Amino acid sequence: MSLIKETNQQYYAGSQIILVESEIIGVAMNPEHIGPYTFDEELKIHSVDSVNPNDAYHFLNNFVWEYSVDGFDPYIILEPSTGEYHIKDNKFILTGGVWAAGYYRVRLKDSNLGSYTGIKLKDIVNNFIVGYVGAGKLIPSVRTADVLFHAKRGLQEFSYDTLKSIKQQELSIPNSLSIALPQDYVNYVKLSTVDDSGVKHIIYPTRRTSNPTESPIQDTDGSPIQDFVGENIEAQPVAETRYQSSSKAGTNVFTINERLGKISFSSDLVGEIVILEYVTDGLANDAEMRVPKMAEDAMYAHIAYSILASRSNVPEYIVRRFKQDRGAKLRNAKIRLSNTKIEEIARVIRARINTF
Amino acid sequence: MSVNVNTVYTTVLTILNKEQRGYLSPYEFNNLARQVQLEIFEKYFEDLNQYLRIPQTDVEHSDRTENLDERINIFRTSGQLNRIPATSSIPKHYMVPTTDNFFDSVEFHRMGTLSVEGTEIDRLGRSEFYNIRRSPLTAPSLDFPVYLYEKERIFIEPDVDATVGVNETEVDIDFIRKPIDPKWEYTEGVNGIYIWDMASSTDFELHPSEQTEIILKILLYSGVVIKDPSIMQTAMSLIQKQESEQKS
Repeated sequence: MSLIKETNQQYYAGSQIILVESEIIGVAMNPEHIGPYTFDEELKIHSVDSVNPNDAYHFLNNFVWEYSVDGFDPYIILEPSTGEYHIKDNKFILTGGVWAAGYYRVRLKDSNLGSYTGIKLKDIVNNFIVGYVGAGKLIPSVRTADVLFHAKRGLQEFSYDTLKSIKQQELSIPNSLSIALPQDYVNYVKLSTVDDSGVKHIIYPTRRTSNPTESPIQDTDGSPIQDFVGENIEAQPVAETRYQSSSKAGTNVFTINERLGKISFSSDLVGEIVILEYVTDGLANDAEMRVPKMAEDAMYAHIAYSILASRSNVPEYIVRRFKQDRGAKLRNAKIRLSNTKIEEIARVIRARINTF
Repeated sequence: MSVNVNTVYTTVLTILNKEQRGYLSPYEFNNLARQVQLEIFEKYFEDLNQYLRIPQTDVEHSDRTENLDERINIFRTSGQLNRIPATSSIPKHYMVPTTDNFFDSVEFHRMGTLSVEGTEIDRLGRSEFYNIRRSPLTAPSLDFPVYLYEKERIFIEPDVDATVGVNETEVDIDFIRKPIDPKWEYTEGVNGIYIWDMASSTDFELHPSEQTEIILKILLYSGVVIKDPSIMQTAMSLIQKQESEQKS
């Protein structure tokens, strides 16, 4: 049984059209339906009212439902009233209203282009339970929450050094010379400025100044002063601002202030466009929780090893076997994901030779 | 598939009446029959646990786990949980069904799998229920919901059918129902003779392969009723022989 279920139209256009040959009158008892729409994704309505596009929460439905008399553009967005339909098994159950004959198109809001490169974390968990857990297997039973925990921890660890989970933000440096760290930031890979031709130039962190985490106000003896609840009274650290305004400050440098969650730049970079490349842990949002297929086997090995290693009464030789298996599969995944192509290497070497 | 209650009763009477040992009235038989059916039925689950720990043969008809599964299968059914809205004192919860998906009235016996839209809901104990919710990595979600079963109430986390009537969602349950009590009913004929009333009687619901065990177990209890130790001893030794053959 093949893994691709969607048609080309569903994949490329994110839509599917169903022809209704004669008018349907919606009724509460034994209602007729339109569909099923055969997307991989389950169609969901946010609330009873959100079937209507004028409702404030319509944007939380994961699709738009449209109609055309003859199947040609333009399709108009349907505006049913509350309770005129609900969805079951990707079918529109028509419990009210009158539904004219014609073409009914469902358009998904999120594109799933390129989705075949990875596998969803929930599928990893389900596959693992099917393949590795059960009577007669090394893991006779396991709680789904345990598998989920190890899968998510695995995805985090893989994200740091195996998977291509580097994200990039293009930012403009404001007059304050500081920008906020991205919401899903874990660590930076590099920062570059972009010139007028769009070419990147790497900038480096400076070691000549730093961002103090605390700057307590002191009395004349040098002891910190406390407020009425007994906590030190803090002042704004000045090291960073002095450095930025000093003539001794370097050019094209930055510092990361993890306490405030900001990146500060030298004053010569004001108004420049920078590209921040950073790593995240792959768990920030549902769409990102995917494991590349090149690393799927490594993920199963990681979960199996983690479960067996954390269990009592599992012989040490079995734990060791799974540890080795995990290591080997992770190495394979790294090699595969490094995407080394012989033609590209040859091109780089040729370019080097030509420069001599 | 069932064991005919009249066959069992007449066989028991035939064995008991040999050498004029005694007689078992229909009332006594019905009580013993109910007890024996439940006893055999309850033992299935212990046996299943035991068999699952022993490697089984793959040869057709000889896999004990499969054979036992066939016997349990008679009582396995499914339905939909009854939703009970939240009150000021009890949060929203669910009750087990009293009618299954085949529209039969059923008495719930043992919990199977709970699922919503094909996603299995994991059963947890109270402390795990708290701990799992506290960890951001394992917090219950619509993809991985969990439930707590307490005081015959089912509490599911998160709210899996919050959008009922919008995206039609029901919580499905697979469960084991209790067997219906067997009953040998009769009408009185001339000279007070009991005549079997097939229409009002209820057969044993157990698998036909259990007929011998049912008869032996009823005989064992009949020995107690008619105070005949020889019947008890014979029945007991036959039951033990059968069990040791099944589990060796």
